[in-house]
Amino acid sequence: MTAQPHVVLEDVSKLFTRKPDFAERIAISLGWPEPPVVRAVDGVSLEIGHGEALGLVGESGCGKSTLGRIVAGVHAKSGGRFSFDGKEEADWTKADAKRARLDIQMIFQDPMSSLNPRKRIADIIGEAPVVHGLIPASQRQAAVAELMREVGLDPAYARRFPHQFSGGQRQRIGIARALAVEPKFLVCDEAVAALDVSIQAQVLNLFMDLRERRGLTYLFISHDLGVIEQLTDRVAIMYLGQIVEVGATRDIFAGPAHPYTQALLEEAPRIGRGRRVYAPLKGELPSPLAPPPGCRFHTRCPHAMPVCKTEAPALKQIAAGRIAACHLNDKAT
Amino acid sequence: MTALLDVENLKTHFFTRAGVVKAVDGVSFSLSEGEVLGLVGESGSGKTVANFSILGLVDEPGRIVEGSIRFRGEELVGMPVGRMRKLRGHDIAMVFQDPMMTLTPVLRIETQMVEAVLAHEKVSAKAARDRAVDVLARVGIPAPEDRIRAYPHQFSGGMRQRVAIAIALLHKPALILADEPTTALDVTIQGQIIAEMQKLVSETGAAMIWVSHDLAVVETIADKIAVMYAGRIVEFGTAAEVIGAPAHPYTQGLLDSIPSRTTPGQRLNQIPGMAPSVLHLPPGCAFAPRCRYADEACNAPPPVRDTGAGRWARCVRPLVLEAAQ
Repeated sequence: MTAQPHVVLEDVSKLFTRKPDFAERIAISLGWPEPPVVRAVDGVSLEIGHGEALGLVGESGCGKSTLGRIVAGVHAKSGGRFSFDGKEEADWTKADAKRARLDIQMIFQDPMSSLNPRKRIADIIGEAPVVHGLIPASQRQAAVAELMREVGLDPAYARRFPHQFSGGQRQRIGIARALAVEPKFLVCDEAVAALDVSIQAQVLNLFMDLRERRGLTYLFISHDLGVIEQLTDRVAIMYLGQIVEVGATRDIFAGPAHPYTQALLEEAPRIGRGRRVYAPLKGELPSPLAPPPGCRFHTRCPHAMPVCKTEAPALKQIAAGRIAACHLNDKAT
Repeated sequence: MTALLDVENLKTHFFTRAGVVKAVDGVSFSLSEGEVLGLVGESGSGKTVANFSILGLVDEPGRIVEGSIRFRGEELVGMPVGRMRKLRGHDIAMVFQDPMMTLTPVLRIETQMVEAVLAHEKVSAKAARDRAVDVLARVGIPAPEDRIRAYPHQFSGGMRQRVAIAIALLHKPALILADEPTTALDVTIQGQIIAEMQKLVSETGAAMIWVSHDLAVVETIADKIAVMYAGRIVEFGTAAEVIGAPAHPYTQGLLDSIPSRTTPGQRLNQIPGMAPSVLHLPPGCAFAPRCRYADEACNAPPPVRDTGAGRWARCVRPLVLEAAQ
């Protein structure tokens, strides 16, 4: 791996607000409070190297999908810096922006809602490369057939519509569409979550093959720790819009440093553990509208100390290539 | 000891314009009091339809065409609607995957729960409400006295599922049918719900059928596991046996497909192909086209082979027997 990372996120945040309507604007001018702001992603810094597979784990509402969408350019970020291949987004020329958007492609959870039901597979896969001038229109059919073979679909089905395929096949169509513009980086947002176990295994194998064959870099977003362990080199754990721990997948699964990571690993049902009694984490994810002060996890943390309620822990290096945000680690050193 | 629930050669077919869909095609199992059965299978394997058949909730064009379901010795197939209604919710309770299927969005939790109590028992509204508050507290809802006044949308997904479980527990059911009750939930919330259900089953002594596609979840809660494929149970045994030494190649394939079992970074040992359409099942073993051990013998309907005490697989050559020879 060269010194220059593929993708760098620095202090990236994303705020969602509702635009006040006319009556609310009058109310606000008369001293009513403004509509609340959701900090879906709050000051996240991450680096992803060339050819790496980074996993992003968290529960629903933690902002992992929003972060993935910022990387893929679907959402504009509200603050922070994003650079791709060493060039910062603010300095991008028009050509840079186009290159980056094509190089980073996204694969969605639900292939049915991300495929146009009124288009044929040949058009879904073949449209983008022709529009972007990557292949001449005359070669389109051959290119589509080649891509379909690569993701394990029979090219004879190119004239069919998405509803004529099963869930696993639709996910393959989504992958072929992403690959059509020859990306270097894939953002997979819960790409196998909707699939049955046996089909999920097939699609995971496809992701591993593609990585080998094309040298792809992955940002793999999932709540399924088994999938993450299988597929990724490094993993970042998110909680309420912030990263709480980053490290090599092997290290984190062997010994999680943050209590939240510990709880996630402890509670994920894994095969072969037999019947056991759960000792689950108490409580639920607090509302991102009003995150708790101090450490955001302290309301559910079994190790919470007084300092956790007032002071937010910073992400600190705790070992080579591992960072975690927890006051417990301060005490240990 | 007589079984609490005895399902014998149950066949539920759907008569569609495209043909007869044999969603459940000859399912037999029995369940003793206090026992937890995990019913495992992928989408379309018929596990939910089997559950719905027990409750008498199969709608047109579906129909139970054959077989019997006996609950405490009483035949449920063809039972008069009135009698079925008395059982449903009182002796047999159900928890669905989506709690919004159980709860109506326009009524307070209180109204819905009191109504569920009064549907089966003649008690005062006050007593019904007290019981509702009591079960809400038992499933871990904080401040149930206040929260019972809330509407379903004011609860999170995990809390809604707790309310649905609370409603199922209002009448001390002898049998709980749980259809993927944790699938829609986050890992930490899933852990909470499984813990709650484990506690309740051991406290109340109710039997339970837990339908799920997730073998790992089923393993943590079930005494016995039935694996379904294309409308039939292909393997049955205790949880430890089925997970530890699968007898049917499909069960083995399912276990191999679970990511955490393989070495990280290695290719998964996938099952090729996909589940057959139940409209056009192969003549012999339905799994044969995807099975790595299949040969000519699999073109005939596979026999049920006993592979141990109370344990069987629907396969010509079950893996456990192979290994033993």
